[in-house]
Amino acid sequence: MSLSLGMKAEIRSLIFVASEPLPLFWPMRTFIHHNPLQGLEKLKFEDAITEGERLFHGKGFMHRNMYQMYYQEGKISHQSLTKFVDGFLSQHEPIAGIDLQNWVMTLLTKIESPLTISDIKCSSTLARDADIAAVLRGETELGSEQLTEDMLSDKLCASLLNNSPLYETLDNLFDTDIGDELDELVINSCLDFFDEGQSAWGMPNRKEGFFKAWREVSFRNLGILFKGRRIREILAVSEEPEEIIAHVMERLNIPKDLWMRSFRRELSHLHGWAGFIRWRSNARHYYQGMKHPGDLVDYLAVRLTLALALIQDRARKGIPGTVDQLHDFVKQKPMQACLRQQLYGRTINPGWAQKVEQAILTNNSNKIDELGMSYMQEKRTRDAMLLANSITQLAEAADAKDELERISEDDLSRLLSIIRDIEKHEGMIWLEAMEATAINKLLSDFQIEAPAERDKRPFAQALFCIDVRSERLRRHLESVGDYQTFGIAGFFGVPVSFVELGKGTEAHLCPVLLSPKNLVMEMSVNELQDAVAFSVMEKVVHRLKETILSPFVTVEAIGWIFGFDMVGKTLAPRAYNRWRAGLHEHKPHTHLLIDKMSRNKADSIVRAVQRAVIAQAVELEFEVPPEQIKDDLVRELREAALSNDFATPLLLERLNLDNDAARSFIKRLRNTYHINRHDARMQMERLGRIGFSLEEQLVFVSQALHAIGLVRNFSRFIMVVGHGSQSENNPYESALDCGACGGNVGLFNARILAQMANKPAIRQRLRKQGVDIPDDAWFVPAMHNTTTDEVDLHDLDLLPSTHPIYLDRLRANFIAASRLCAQERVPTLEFISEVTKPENADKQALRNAMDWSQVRPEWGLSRNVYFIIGRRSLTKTFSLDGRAFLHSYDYRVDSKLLLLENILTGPLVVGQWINMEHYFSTVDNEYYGSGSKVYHNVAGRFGVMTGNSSDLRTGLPAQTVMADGKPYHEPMRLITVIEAPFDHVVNAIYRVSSVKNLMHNGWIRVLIRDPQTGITHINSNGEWQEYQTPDNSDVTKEPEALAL
Amino acid sequence: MASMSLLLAGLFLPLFPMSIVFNFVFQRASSAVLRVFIIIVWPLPGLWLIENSSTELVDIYVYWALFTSVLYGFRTVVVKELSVWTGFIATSAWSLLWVAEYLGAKVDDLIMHTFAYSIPLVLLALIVARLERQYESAYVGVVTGLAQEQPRTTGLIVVVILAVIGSPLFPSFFSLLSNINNVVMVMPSIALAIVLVWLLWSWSGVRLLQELVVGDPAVFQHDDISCGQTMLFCFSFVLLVAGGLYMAEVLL
Repeated sequence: MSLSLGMKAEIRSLIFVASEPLPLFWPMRTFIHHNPLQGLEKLKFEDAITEGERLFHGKGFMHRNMYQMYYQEGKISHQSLTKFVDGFLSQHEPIAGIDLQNWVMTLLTKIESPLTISDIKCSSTLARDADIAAVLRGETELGSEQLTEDMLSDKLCASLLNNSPLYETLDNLFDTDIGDELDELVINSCLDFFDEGQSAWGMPNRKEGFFKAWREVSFRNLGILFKGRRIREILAVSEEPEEIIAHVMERLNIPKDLWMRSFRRELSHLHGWAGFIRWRSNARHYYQGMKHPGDLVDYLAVRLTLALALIQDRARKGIPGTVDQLHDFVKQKPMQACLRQQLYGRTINPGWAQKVEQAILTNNSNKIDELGMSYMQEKRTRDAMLLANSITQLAEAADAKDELERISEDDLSRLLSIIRDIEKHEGMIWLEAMEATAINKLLSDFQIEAPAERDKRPFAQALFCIDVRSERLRRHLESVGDYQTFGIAGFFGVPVSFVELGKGTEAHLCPVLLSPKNLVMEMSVNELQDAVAFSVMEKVVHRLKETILSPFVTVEAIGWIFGFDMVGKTLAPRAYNRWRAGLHEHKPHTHLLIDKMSRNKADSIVRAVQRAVIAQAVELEFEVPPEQIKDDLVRELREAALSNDFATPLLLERLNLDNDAARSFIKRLRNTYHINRHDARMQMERLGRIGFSLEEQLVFVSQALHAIGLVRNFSRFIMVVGHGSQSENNPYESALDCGACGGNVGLFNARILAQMANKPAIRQRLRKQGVDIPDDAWFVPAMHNTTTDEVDLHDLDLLPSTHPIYLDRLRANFIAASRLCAQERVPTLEFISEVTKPENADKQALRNAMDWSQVRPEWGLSRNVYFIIGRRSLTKTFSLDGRAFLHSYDYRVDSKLLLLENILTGPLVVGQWINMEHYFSTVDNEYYGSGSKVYHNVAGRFGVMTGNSSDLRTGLPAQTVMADGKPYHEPMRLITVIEAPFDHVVNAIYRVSSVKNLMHNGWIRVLIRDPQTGITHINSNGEWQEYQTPDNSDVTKEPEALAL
Repeated sequence: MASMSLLLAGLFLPLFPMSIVFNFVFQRASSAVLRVFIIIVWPLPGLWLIENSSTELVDIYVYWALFTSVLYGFRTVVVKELSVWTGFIATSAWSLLWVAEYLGAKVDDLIMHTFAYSIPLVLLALIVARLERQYESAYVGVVTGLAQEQPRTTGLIVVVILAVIGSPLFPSFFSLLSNINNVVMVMPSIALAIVLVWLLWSWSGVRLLQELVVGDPAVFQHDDISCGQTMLFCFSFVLLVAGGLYMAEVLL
């Protein structure tokens, strides 16, 4: 088969478009919170949920009984619910004699399960409204209208053949299990190819690309050949993935205008894997992606090849093998198809299952038709009775039985229609009511008076990440001493690529929305030390475990040693881990290379490296002792390798080589040892990335300080507090680290910003911008461990000599704040109900961080709901319970709106991703979350699967969002409050189209608190309205701008 | 006349095709009490007949019984209706009593073997009847996701099915083990056939549990079994295990 270039391009573009709704999936090492429906954000929130349900089978709202629980607990107020119910009913005509509000409120608050769930879920009810009316009247005979075979076949063709892939329909009609087998084979193929070092033996030829490598193996893979015997035939058609895709679609007789839909359906089937491949193929700097390339075209080619092979295998047993054949089957035997769909689609009334199965197995058309008709009639009666009973129960609960008795058939039909409609949209009603309650609570707590000006600078100022976990620590720190705290995205506005000491790879320490241009390296200031013996032993054991044969011997010989580990980690995790940490070498003191090097310096480094390599090459190749390799010889060889000249008289003379041997060595220097102009240029480029120029440093420091409104009154200490987490045996560890640092710890960004801001040259330039940082102000980086609530101060060796005297006070206050924070937080983790003393909480939290059996080391960002952009004074007087992202912002220093635009573009969007990840992981943990952690296994070192074969689990585990089977996280959209004049905010929002769309489509709720008018505005369905709060009138207004 | 009595015994200790009669009767019995009665009583006349037969049991009966046992064992793998499954397993298990008789088991031991298979089936029949009352039938796959909806019932079903398919410590395990133990050295092919039957039971049992226990629960939900009834069942399991250990003492 040969396709034109145009056709290939068309297939590629169809797949590209089809993959748009798929959420990207980043490797677990740097877990990135994301909205599982990110690809559908262009739709309205409710529409996206419906589409998500169709594509990913995930629910977008919780079950009614959960909302009822919130209603009873007061988290959804009666007033809010009534308001939204009234809003819903205003779109429907009233029914005479029926108190609709009473009926609907009773339905929502007193009836646990939706009445019309079978209508909605199965869309297969046969009962008509007239039947329900007849049952309510006490009649036993329902309408005489019968279903004809034509009606059945039309209904079936519409429901079966339009949206599902062929094999899914076959599974539903013939119980063939192709879908599960296909998923298993695809998962195994992906595991083989995308593995990043977990397997001892890798798949051969991976550098050729996913499809080509897989194709080669599949010709010999017995597992695949056994299940799909025709696979060789299919693979022989072409080596190109696009051609295979076209071939399969043609063989299955799928019309070309349905290809895109089919592709989308196939891609969404294992959306975790597809999302990972989609991300991987677009990640330009991802090493594994460059080494082993694979994209969604490859993936789809693999999936469709296997699907066709499995279908053809089943077709040999008389099952339809193409879409046309399936149509024919349904047209010719509609009743049989209908019964099959009911039985194998698991929607049959259980009492009929055995009879229907036997009838189908006999394949007697008359018997099947007869049985089918009886079944349909019985189902119709049964459906009608069920719904009628439910309506009667509802009427009783609403104390409106007399209304039901008097209702006419037409009005009953309208009432049923309203009930169906509200049950279809009730999720949105509950959600909006819940959010309204949360908004009311927040606004009633707000400190609306303008903050008083301070006459004295605080003892210390601290910059924290906006992360919800910082709120508790900030509050307690402010309570224990004279501290002023600020919230800023945890990368502190410095996007950087970072190479940590002892690690060979770059980590991007910034939100994934940004691509860092600058590289910072961590260098040890201590002498080089030999590796500690224990660390060497650990490495040896790991090597032994990872090869093919040695594990057998290793287990026998040293397996018992791991028993100590097990006992220690289980019985006394704190003491044991402390002891074990002592066995490892400690990380030495380090400095960060943050300054850009000059061209001369870079050139000198490249020369030095080249000389060292050449000297080593001579030593290795000619066995010349180092003392005989003189500088002039090295210089000559370097110049020869970098030029086109092969003249090397010193080499010929000193090593007694002939011309050919010398030429060959120069060639090897160029090709094997990379001493050539091209590589030298590359090295210069790479060195050029290291560090920041002074101008860049100035921009980052100035921007960070302006963004949070810290432009004067600087304290002696300005703490820059990054955060990270600590847990054992936890593949989701990076999900607990700083999202703004790309799922890494925030310490390095804190150190970088502090180092920049402490430079006299930077401060001098800042003064010209009006930001006068006094000489005695010192930026100190610190690390907040969110699992233990401890705060460690860093780079204290750089502290000026005037400062250590204050350190004790600083440390004592941080310890006090940490303990108070732990005391507040630890009881929420369930393993202890109350902590009476702060120091006990501290110990509990530490144990939790070191316990390897702990599936919930901390709650992370669970329960996040608010994003507040404004001054701390707004929220300082009350507890936000660790539920708010707090971004400091002072509109008075942002007349050009640039700072607010930056906050909206970066932190707010990341906050929305985090919020949506938690929302969907809570409302449907199985499909959008990742289920229980207990069953998770690491897959290929980049993801987790449930059990040994499943889709990559992309969301949050149950232990992060659920407690005792009920949601711990309260799923609401991010309620964003911006404190600034109305026009100021609106202009900024409309300049950031991504945020504007999120707001208009209802993915975030946006409120503006205007400090000049004291009015709060809310955006609802794209319209701005004044938000009425009880104390809106009593507001202290403030002057327009700060003189700066 | 002796052959006739053995053939008649083949009706009660079912041999194919006479096994059809038992399964027909069992499937028509809709009440739990009747099913329990059938499970307990049905094999007893068969035992009496083969014990009192004047002729020696010839090889053909053993192979016939093994064929029946394997056949019904195989059929259990595809059956989804729990009551039908109960009948098929009973057929497959009771056929093995012919082997025990052939290997020279005493009357008391034969009765012990019989109850080793029947008592777990009685417990299963009681739970199946409960499911049928709630769901109209106990057709696995249609009735599914029971673990989320009825955790106590699910636990009982899991243990009962493990007892039925001859898991260790339950009497059926020791019955199968003693048969294999007695025959493996002299007629390994028979031992192999018993192992095959055992494998088929385990396969079908686990498949049933997989489809019944996990998955999305049914749209219309029902109450779980009461704690009191659960305790009664648990007590029965303890007795079963005790019986199993006693059997191990007597037979092995």
